[in-house]
Amino acid sequence: MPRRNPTSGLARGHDLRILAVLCLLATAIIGQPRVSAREDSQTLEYPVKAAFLLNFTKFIEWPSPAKTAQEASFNLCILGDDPFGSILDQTVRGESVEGRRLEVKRVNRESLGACNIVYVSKSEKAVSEILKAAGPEVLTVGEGENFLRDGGMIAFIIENRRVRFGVRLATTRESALRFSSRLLSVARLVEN
Amino acid sequence: MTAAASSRIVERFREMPIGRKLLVLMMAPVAVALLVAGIGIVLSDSAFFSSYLQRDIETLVRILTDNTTAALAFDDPKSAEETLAALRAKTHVVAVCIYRDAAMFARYSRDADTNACPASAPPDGVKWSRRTAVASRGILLKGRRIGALVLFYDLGELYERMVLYGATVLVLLIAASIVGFVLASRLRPIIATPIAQLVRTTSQVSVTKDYSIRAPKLSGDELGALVDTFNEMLASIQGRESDLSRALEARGEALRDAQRARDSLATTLASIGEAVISTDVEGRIVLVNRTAQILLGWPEEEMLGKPIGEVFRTVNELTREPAESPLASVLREGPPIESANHTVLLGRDGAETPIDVSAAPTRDASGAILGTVLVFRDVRSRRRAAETSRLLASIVESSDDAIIGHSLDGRITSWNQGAERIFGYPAAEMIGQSAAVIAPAGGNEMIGVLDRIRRGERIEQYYALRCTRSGKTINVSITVSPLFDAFGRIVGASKIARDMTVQVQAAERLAQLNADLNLSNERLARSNEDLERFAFIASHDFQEPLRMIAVYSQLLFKSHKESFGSDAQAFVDNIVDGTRRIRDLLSDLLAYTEVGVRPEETVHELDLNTVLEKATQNIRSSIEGSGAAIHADALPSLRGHEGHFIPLFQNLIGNAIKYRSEKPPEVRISVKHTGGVLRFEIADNGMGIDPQYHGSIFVAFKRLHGKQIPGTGIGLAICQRVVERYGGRIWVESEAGNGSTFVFTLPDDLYVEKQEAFHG
Repeated sequence: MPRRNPTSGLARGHDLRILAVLCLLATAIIGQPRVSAREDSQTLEYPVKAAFLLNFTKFIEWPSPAKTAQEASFNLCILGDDPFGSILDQTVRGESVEGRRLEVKRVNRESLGACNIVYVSKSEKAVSEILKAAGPEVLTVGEGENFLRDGGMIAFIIENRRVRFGVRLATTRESALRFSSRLLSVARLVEN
Repeated sequence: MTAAASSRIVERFREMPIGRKLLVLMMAPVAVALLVAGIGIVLSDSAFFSSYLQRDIETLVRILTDNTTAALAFDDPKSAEETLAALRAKTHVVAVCIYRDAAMFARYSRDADTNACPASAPPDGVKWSRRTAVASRGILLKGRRIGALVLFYDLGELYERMVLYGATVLVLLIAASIVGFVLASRLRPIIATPIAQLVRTTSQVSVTKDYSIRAPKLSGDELGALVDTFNEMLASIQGRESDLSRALEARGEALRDAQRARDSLATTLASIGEAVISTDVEGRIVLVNRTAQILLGWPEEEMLGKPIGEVFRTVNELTREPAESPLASVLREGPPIESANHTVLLGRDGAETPIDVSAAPTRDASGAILGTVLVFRDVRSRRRAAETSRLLASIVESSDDAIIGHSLDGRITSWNQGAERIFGYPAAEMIGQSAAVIAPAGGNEMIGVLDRIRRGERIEQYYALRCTRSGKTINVSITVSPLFDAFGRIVGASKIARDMTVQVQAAERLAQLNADLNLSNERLARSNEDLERFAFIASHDFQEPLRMIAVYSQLLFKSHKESFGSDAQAFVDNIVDGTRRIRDLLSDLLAYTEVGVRPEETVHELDLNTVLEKATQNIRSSIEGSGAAIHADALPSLRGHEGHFIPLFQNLIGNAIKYRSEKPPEVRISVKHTGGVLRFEIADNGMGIDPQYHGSIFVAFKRLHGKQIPGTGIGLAICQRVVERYGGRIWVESEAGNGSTFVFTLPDDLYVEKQEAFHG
């Protein structure tokens, strides 16, 4: 059940923001001439990825948190260099996941414990080790198919100058998260 | 349906035979029940199906929105379209459109090249139109609307289903009706056959009058009971009928005996010429024969039993008083009576017949009167004979001719007033005398005539001389015929003599006049012939001296030109011109006389086309000079002389050209075979001829124009002579200024049937 924010004014604010993002997306895909497409896709890449990150939370069933963590926020952590800047913060502002407020955190390898989602930036090396440390209840998101081979759950892929994402089914099965089949139906499934 | 129409249907149903009524009674409820059930099934099914369809569409839309949420959330229209492509299996889904906000995101279309999607999504819900249902629903992601899906559903399915159901119900209805009809047809005879059998028996009895017929009993129900009752009725009628016919036979035998007796009497009465009526004592008619029926104008069956006074009505012919019925007096007094003359019978239609009547009573053996017999006879023919002889006698007496009867020995037996007038002797003096009294002294031819009369001959009109009492001799025309008695024997002669003295004298004078006339005709013809011969010789012999005058005067001028004055040339020209005119005149005159002087010329078959050719050749210079156009029909061949017909055509065509108007002359020659004559027409467009001259132009030397148009004045006289010589006529039809048509006719016995082209 989606939980509505008690103040309708805020809710409308969120709607408008999402709408703005989607509009930008639509213009980027449909409206722009091909010549400047590369440039635009680069400038639009991270707003799209930010929107996708938010949307992932809605197609995944999260394990119930421990009693103590129920009042805590739902943390979206960025590990390594932050490519989003303020875009991600704007995107998730006021959003919640299963009743918990969604917050963006910039973390390092040592402070992954409170994260529900870890976005592994391109800057990070020895990714497989980070992933092992993250545990099966944390959604790991990274860049490129190699991220999946390293044991990541979802990887952003650029395909025909558009942002898509890939999933390795074996990995998702091992995790404690329940991925919606609808999410999988739009993902690029990668084996090994 | 109007009341009249429904009552007509009821009326027709009432007139149907029972068999068909049963069929209708069995079939009608079945058909109606099936029809109502069928309509109910189709209507309810279509209602149920449409609500089912709505649910189905809603479900489909919900599934589709769920399955495309992710695609919309992760901006993957391709994935959405793949999902939608699964709808191929649902053939009634026309199109599905997915909108992200206002913009089209993905779409599916059953027919690839059509785009049914509107620019923006309609409000949520299902909208039904006649052919399509449009279902629209928002796509929600965790309660937030991120887009909309619109589905177009083709309702053809609904209608197809209704048609299919309707057709199925109709087929079932027809099949059920056929089965019902067959079943009903099989079952119907159970009721219909016994009734039909009973009807057939009753009509058989009614037609044949045979009361021994019985109706067969085919069932034990009410119909069986009806048959039994009917048969009993027939049996009782049969018994009564045989009693009746026995009684009738006995009576008929008695009647035939009586009839035979009466027939022999009736035959006798029918064959006699007198009318007979007999009555009983009351005066009622008991018998009339045929003659009486004819005279009275009543048929026998109407007269029998009537009082005689009603049909036998008589009046006195002179006084017009009703005569007392002779029967009344016979019955009163007893003895037979003969009625007086002048009794007239008044027929039924008022016709009057003069009759002789006698009446007598009839008596039985004891002498008592039983009735009367009235016998009467038509006396018209006897009267007519008497009237005829009176008429003949008065005709004889009033005749102007002498009508004298002779006995075969020559004595005079009758002498009418005409004879008295012509011969002067009164009848009283001549009857009994010999006919020789009026014969002339020379002898009496009557003796020979009487011999021929005895042989039965009739002597038609011959002329003879007779002497009158005053001693004058007169011419008479006599016709003698034999007189016969009633048995056809010759008993005398009737001589009719007419005084012909005046006529004979007139005839003699006429013969004298005729002889005188012939004599003077002969003289005239002779002098005419002399004259024509003279004219012929003169015109022929003048030619040469005239030519000499012309030639020598020209020669004189040429030889002594220098000694003549300047006028000499003109004078010589005048001389030559004068002689030429005289020569023309003479040659025409010659032609004119030639037509008359050689009447016995042998005739040849003459092709008039050739004649026309020659005639136009002769006057070619004037035709060419005037620019005349000559049109001619194909002309026939005739028996005739070329020397007559060439001048005929030449003169008529020549005149047409000579008396032309300002227009170039045009001559049209046509011929028609009509009413026993060949009718030729030579029509021109010339100056025409005033009708007052139409008669005189054919007279020789008669000319209408002076010297300005040269001519001899003989041309038309020649034409007339030629045409009349061949038994025809010539005349002109013209008006001044309007052209002329010369018409001549020739009898068609001249005509040689040869030229196919000529259909006169």
